[in-house]
Amino acid sequence: MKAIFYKEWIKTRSYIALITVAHFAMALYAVLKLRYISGQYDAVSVWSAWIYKGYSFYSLYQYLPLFGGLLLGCAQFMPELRDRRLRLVLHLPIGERRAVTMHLAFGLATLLSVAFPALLLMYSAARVWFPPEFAVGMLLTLAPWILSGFGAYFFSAAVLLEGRWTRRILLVLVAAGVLRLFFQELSIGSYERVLAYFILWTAAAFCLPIMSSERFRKGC
Amino acid sequence: MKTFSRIFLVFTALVLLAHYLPSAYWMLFSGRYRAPYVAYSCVAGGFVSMRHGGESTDYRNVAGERINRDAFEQLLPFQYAGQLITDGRMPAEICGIVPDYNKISMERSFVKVEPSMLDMPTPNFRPLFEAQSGRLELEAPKDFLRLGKDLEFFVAASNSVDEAKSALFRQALEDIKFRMPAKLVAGNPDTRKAYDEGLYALDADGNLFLIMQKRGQPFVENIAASMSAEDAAQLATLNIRHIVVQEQKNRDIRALLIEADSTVWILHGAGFVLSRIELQGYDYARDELMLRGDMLNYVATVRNEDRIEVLAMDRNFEPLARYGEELMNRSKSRAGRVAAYLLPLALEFDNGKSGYLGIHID
Amino acid sequence: MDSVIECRQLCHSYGNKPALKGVSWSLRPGRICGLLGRNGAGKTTTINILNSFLSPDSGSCLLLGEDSRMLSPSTKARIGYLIEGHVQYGFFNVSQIERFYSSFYDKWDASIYHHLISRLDIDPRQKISTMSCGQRSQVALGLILAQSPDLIVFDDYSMGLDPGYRRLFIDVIRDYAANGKRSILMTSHIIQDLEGLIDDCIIYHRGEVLVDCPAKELETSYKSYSFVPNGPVEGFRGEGPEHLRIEQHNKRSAISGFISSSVAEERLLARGVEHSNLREEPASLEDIFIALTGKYQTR
Repeated sequence: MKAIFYKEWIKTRSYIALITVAHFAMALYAVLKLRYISGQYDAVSVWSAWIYKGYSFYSLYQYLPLFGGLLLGCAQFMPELRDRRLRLVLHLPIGERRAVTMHLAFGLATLLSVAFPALLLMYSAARVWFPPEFAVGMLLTLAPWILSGFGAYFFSAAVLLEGRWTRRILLVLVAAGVLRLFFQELSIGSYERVLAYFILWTAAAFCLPIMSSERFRKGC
Repeated sequence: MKTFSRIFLVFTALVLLAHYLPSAYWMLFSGRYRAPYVAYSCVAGGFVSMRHGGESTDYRNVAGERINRDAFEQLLPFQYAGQLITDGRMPAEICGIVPDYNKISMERSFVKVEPSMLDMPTPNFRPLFEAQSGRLELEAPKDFLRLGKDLEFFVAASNSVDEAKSALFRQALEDIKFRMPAKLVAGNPDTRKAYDEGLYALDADGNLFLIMQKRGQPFVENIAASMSAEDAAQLATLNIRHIVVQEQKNRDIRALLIEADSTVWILHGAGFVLSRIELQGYDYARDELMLRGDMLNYVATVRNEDRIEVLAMDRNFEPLARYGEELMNRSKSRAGRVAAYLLPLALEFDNGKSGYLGIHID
Repeated sequence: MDSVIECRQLCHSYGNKPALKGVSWSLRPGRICGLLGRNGAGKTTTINILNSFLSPDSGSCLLLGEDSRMLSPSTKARIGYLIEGHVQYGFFNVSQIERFYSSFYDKWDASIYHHLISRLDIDPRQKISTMSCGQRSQVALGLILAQSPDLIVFDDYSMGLDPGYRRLFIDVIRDYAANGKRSILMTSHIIQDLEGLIDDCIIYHRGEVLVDCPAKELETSYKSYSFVPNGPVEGFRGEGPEHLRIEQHNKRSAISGFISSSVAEERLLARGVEHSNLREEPASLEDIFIALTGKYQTR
């Protein structure tokens, strides 16, 4: 397991650095914007925008996890497809499904750890100007966006590992159709009731790249 | 795993089709269906209606005969008072009342309750206005009241609790036996409202309280104690799910209490008179409720895509007349009948009736 | 265990085009076997099936006694596999990639790897992607040999290598296999390199096994004779065990097969080829290969 993580780290570290910097920079920018807003308008108006209009103030961040997930998926699996290098992994003396799962676990862990400092920054900043309810609501608002990153990651991996173009197109369509639903509403709390379904769906999407890799192995 | 991933993909694809196909279909084939405006004419003692067509507007009198706009306006003299006075058409007497524009406009009220207003993410932070600031206009307070497990005033500018003020109000509530945690708190945060009614709150035991701030001091009231014994007994039996506060100029309607089974009660008058609105098919999760008032009547309108129900009442909310009409809507249109075959399943995440996204299957 | 690899009636086709038409062969322990064939003869399909990257339409393949479609990790650890073109992870440098692979193999022998790498003129921090194909081949070879596998599959090891590296590659394999404990299956287009290296030889032709015999036997029993024809010679390819081939050349035409000179005379006479001056010509493995499979991709 460590070895696969080591390989993935060496392979993708420059991309991970890029994604981390992008997350952090965007979070910082969002925080600065919040600071600016809090300076420009009186606090009651800013709170009112949250309480009555459901403003989260962090909408700048929304598409970043999606792109991060896409980029990481490509950074991890495109090199595995050049000359069908994935064969090297599948030939390693560990179970094939386990080997692919390790790759995906690395991606998941990366996406989580990349988002973590950004979330922490945004949470801490939110607590400076807002009560905890806002900060928690803000995190819940960010949750579908973060999930979209995982979804994009699983789907990009599945699409890349998939051999047949028809299946690839199908996967892309499904991914686009679903991920759009993660960006329907911006107001705080509106995703509360569907978040659990989205989490379940994203978790279930884990199986797609694994099945794609098994089809890859069988050469179909 | 293989079976699971197959089921997962097929299921996802089906969900997407059930979501996107109907929305694309209706983007193509949806017609425009507008509910009629049905009003109670005290002059004619019945319902009159106005329907917007493509080119012209169709006005009908109580007998259902087509009339022109002037005649229609004349049937609703309180509503069109400004127009009638301007045209010099205002009668000298309306149902025994000598019309006075100021009085008419003062007594006009309008309360609207939409499903999405009752079901939306609302942070438990509410402004408690200064109800007797001595100023003409209300000013947004600098702090927000969080009334739940505890009572705290959060000062927005410092993002901290005003302990002194919180303690003052906490004590005031304790004194009238308000038991934390509060089950439900409702108020109207609009600064442009006519006056401040304060916040209504249900305590842990389900007792209804009114919390106000007058010259910085708490002014709290146990509603049951302030109303007649009969109403208090009635109030104790209510299973209140929502409270709607929309201050009106005449200060008659104080709050709407909506029960879990969608029964609507009105708290009105200085003595918190409790009156039931005798609606027949209201469902707060589905229907829009409007309550219009003038010098003589209250008219409640319940509307959804399928039907409209109008109930005319006197000023004491006693029913006078009732009107019902099935409405034309898209599912009854030809496109709708085709859709029922073509699209057996429609799945929406936002059905316009909630501030939350949900999974709505049709 | 009788064989380290055993292919049983492998059939596979891509769409309507058959790639393997029921091939069966085996590799005995400690032997080096060359799997030869023209382009499209079915070598790569077989290798892909061996490595379970392809499920055959029918038939099966056993590696070290296990079905190739579901090799256990412990069996995989005993099989070294060189992907054609010496494909390896380009983003690693030589020490990183050693660190990666070593953790998977209990019998990892780093000295073999370092020995091979030390002979290359590379910066230890140089990424593999920036190395020449020859250097990469040594890295890939080192990584496989360090696994101390019982069976190695080299798929087209010569692809992209200059003669120097090709020779080096062969030399390393020869040294490595000297103790006779390793079984090796290799495919290549450069047949002359394999001469003297391989113990057994399997030649594929159009999805079928044409010849499967020890390389020595092939070199000694397969004969090529030239003759001067008295008239036009009609080309002939026999299907039987003699693998008789008659070809018309400019001055001297040729007859070849698993035949002696007297049989060659008989076969020519039997086909009405009048001739004179029949003589045996020296034949390398490559000559034999071409005689057997033809210069052109005949259908």
